[in-house]
Amino acid sequence: MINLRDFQQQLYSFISRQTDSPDSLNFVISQKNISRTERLLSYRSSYEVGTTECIESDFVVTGVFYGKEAFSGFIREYLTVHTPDTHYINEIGRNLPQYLKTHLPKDASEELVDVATLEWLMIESFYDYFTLTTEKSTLNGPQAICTTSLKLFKSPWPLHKIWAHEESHPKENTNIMVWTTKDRRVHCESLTDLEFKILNGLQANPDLESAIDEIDSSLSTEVVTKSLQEALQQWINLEIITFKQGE
Amino acid sequence: MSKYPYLGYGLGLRSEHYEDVLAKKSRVDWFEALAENYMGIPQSGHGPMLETLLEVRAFKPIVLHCVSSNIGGVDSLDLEFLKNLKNLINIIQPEWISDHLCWTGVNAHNTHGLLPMPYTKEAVEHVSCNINRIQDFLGQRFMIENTSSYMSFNHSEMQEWEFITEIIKKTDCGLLLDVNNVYVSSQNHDFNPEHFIKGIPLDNVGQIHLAGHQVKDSGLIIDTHDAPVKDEVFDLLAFTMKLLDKTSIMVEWDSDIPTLSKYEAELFKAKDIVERIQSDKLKGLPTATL
Ligand SMILES: [Fe+2]
Repeated sequence: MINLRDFQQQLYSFISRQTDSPDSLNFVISQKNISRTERLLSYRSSYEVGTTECIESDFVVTGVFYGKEAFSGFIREYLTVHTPDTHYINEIGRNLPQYLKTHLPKDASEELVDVATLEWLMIESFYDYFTLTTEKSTLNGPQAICTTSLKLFKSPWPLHKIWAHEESHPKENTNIMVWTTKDRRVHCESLTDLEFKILNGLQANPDLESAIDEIDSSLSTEVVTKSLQEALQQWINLEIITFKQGE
Repeated sequence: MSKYPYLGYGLGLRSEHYEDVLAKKSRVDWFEALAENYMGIPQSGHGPMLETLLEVRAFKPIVLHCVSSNIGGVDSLDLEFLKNLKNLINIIQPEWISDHLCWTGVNAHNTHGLLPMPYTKEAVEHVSCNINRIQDFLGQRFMIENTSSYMSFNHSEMQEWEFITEIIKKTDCGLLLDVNNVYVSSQNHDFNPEHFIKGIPLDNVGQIHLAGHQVKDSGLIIDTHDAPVKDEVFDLLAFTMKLLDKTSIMVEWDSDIPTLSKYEAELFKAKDIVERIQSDKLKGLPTATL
């Protein structure tokens, strides 16, 4: 009689397509006119549909750029290399941008990897918003605390436009920010260099005074203060930062 | 006499319904929350999702339901997962915690599915040992749920209800009796679902699940949780409740999730059935057939 370990390994091999012959799993019973093969395939298809649909819905625009049909095949190939190994199904796309970089189709559009990187960051942003807590700061002065969901990065592409319109845009160096709001929506916008610098600084240290100090000294204090005031109010409204007056 | 408190009629707590639930628009007695949703990626935190659950907890009892314990898997138990679960239990103080009697993956791979066990003595020993470890670690009784299955195995040495009974004998764990799963498996594997219900230790049943399913062209029934509960399942619920004391009942609905009021309507159908049976019992009448 097959032991529990071999039983599970053999079934897993079939479900994950490492083996393909249902007949090697002759411990599965055909009954009620429903064959062993159909019974086994119901588990394989539920695994494949579940994981593929999860990635398809997390990487919608990547799929548009890749080509919808071909993208499903690519996902299946990706999943045989990066087999799901965590409880959290949305984690299964973590390595997809990197895998895409090394397995680019010949006619792939140039921005494809950056689009995939953006979409992964959007997933991370969502989960970080709902699961991570802002560290309690011990600082005393006024503070601008960034949402845990905030992700900042630079791209040679205007990814916020590409993502919103689901179509190509000419190359253009862009600072991108991604964040999640209480209504469970994930947003993607561009930033000026100065705004990028301010938010980057605040992410590392919410103390407003040191954030101002860190900013390029070639800019006048008035310019910095004015930009900061405008930006802070906008970011508070957009739920990107919360402001604390301090003691 | 059940080993669990009676909570009444509950629903799965879905993010689609948070707003209505927090505005106290729900008429149900309690909620079941999927534990993994509140445990965080990659670490636990008091994030907004957990805050919402705590808000609900302030006015409704909560039970925690898991999908990742992998109690039937041959890999060793995931201590990190159990620690996260224990943290969540300490915060939420649920009425009880449950997971499925199944395996979800092997060699650290996760299929994100609930895979069926072979009903062997080896599997009884293995699962019982895992449940006892979990109960020791959590310091409380754990509840296991019978799953629906689409295949059975020629090396099984007993029926599913005997398998469950043997495990409960060795662990005194609770049973989350999924009546829809009993029905689905009975049709897929050609057994009488009433034999299943009569064959399990009813004192250990702490909760009942109901859900919708779909029938494929071949006749294979798939547990989809995306539709109203079928009449055949309500019939089996009626049969079950003739044998059981008051038991907490909930309806699962996980995809194509309807509005809260439509979801509640499904639960209240079950409530009507159970109340009719209970009133017949009180009058000492033979319980009416549906
Ligand atoms: Fe269930």
